[in-house]
Amino acid sequence: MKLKLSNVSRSFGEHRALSGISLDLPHSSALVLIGPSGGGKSTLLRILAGLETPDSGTVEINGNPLVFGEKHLLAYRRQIGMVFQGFNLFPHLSALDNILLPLTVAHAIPRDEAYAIAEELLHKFALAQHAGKKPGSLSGGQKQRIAIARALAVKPQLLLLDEPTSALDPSMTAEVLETIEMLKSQGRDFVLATHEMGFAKHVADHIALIEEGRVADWGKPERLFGADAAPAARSFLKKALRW
Amino acid sequence: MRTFKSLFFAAASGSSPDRKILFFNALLAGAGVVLLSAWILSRSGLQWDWNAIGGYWRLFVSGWSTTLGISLAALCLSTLLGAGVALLKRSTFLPLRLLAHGYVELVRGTPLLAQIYVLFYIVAEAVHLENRLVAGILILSFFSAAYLAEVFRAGIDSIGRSQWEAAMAIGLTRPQTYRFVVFPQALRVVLPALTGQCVSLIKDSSLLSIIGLNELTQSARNVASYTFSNLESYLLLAAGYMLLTLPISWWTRRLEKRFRYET
Repeated sequence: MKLKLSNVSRSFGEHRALSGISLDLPHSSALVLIGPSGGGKSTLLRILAGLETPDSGTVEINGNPLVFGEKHLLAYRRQIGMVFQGFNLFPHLSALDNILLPLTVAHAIPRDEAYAIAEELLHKFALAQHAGKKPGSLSGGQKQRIAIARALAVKPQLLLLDEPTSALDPSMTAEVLETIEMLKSQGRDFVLATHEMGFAKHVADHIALIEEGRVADWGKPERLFGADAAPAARSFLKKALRW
Repeated sequence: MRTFKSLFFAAASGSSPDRKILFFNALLAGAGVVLLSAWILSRSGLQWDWNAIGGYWRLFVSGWSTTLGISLAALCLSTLLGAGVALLKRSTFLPLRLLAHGYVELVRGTPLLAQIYVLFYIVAEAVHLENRLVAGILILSFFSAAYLAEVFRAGIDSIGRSQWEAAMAIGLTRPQTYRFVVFPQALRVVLPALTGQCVSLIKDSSLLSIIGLNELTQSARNVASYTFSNLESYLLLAAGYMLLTLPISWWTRRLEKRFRYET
C-alpha cells in the first residue's frame, strides 16, 4: 500500500481532531498508528474508511486521490474493510449473515458464491461452528473475528482496524492479535490503530505516532522504539511502556 | 416433585412456566371471573332475551365483515403513510420535515370524532368523495398514521449510530441501510407499540358509525333500536371486536418471541 496525506485537517466544533496531518508512506504493508486517546488516530482511520470528510487537505491511496463526494465515497467504501473497536456487528443477523450482507447487498454477488466466500472465511478463522449464532451469544473475541471476516469478505484493497482489541480481555486480545498477525503473514495491507505497543512493534512495517492531530514521529518500528526517535515518541513510549 | 408454591408462582417476572401450570392457573383465574360475573348478574335482576336479536344475526355478520375490511385496509394504508411520515420527519428538507411534525401534532392533539366530521363533511365533500366506505378508510388511515409515524420514528431513533456507521462502512446505500439494518432491528423494538396501535385502530373504527357507515357498531346500534335488546347487542358487539383484536395480540406475541435476540 502507498499512502499519502497532505495537510489533512478535521475539526468537530471547537475541537481540532486533525490539524494538518501529513505523511508520505512510499510502500508499507502494515502501518500501525499509536498515540494517546483523543490524539486523532480514530479520525484519521475514519477518513481513510470514507466515513468522515476532512475540512481540508488531500488523501492518496495507492496513487489514487480520494474524492470526497457521496457517490465516489460509496464506491470507495466498498473497496475498504473497516473493523471497529466496538465490533459493530448487526445484532439481528447471525455471524454468517453478517459476513454475507456486504457481499450479497453492497456487492450484489450471487448468494451461493457469497456463501462459499463466507464459509471459507469462517473456516479460516476457526469460527465455522458459530456460523448460525447471533452476535449476542458470541464472546468478544469471536465477535471481533467475525467483524474482521466481514471486512475481509469483499477482498478489500485495504483493511482498517480501529483499536480492535481495546474492548477485550487479555486472552481475547491475544486471539484477535493472532488473527491480525495471520493477515500480516498473508501480505494483506492494513492500517491498525492500537494501544498494544508490543504487538505494534512486532507487526508493523511502519509506525506513526499521532498526537494532538499531527504525526509526531513516524518510521520503522526499530527506529521509533529506539534511541534516535523524536522526543515526543520517546516521551509517549516511556509512559506507554512503563508498566 | 413440584412444590406447592411452584403451582401458583412463576420463577421471576419475565419467566413463564410450562403449559400445564399456565393452563391450570388460567382456569383458576377464569373461574374467578365467571363467578364474579354470575354474582353481579344475579344481583342486577336483568332479564336476558337473546331470542330477539337472534333474528338479526345477518346484520351483525355483515357489520363485522365491514369492520374487518375497514380495519385491514386502514392498517395497510396507515402503515405506508406512517412510515412515509416517519421518514419525512428525518428529512433534511425543512418544509417537508415541519409539515410532517405539524401533521402528527394536529392529528394526535385532536379527537378522532372531530376529525371524522371535518374530513367527511368538509374535505370529502370538497373533493366529491361520496363513497362512505372509502372515505371512512381514508379518514381512519389519516388518523392512525400519525400515531404509527411516532412509533416508527421511535424505532428508527433506537438504532444507534454505530449501526448506521457499520452499514455505511460495508458500502450499503441509504435505502439498503434502512431495508437490511435499521428496519429489521427497529421492528423488534416497536412491535409491542405497533400491536397496541393496531388494536386501537380496530376499535377506533367504531367511531365511523357517525358518518352512517354500516360497520359493527352501527349494526349493533340498529339491532338494539329494532329489538330494545340493548345489553345483548352491545355484549355481542364487544365480543365481535375481541374476535378481531385477540388474534393480533397472539400473533405479535409469537413474532416477539421469534425476533428475540440479545443485544
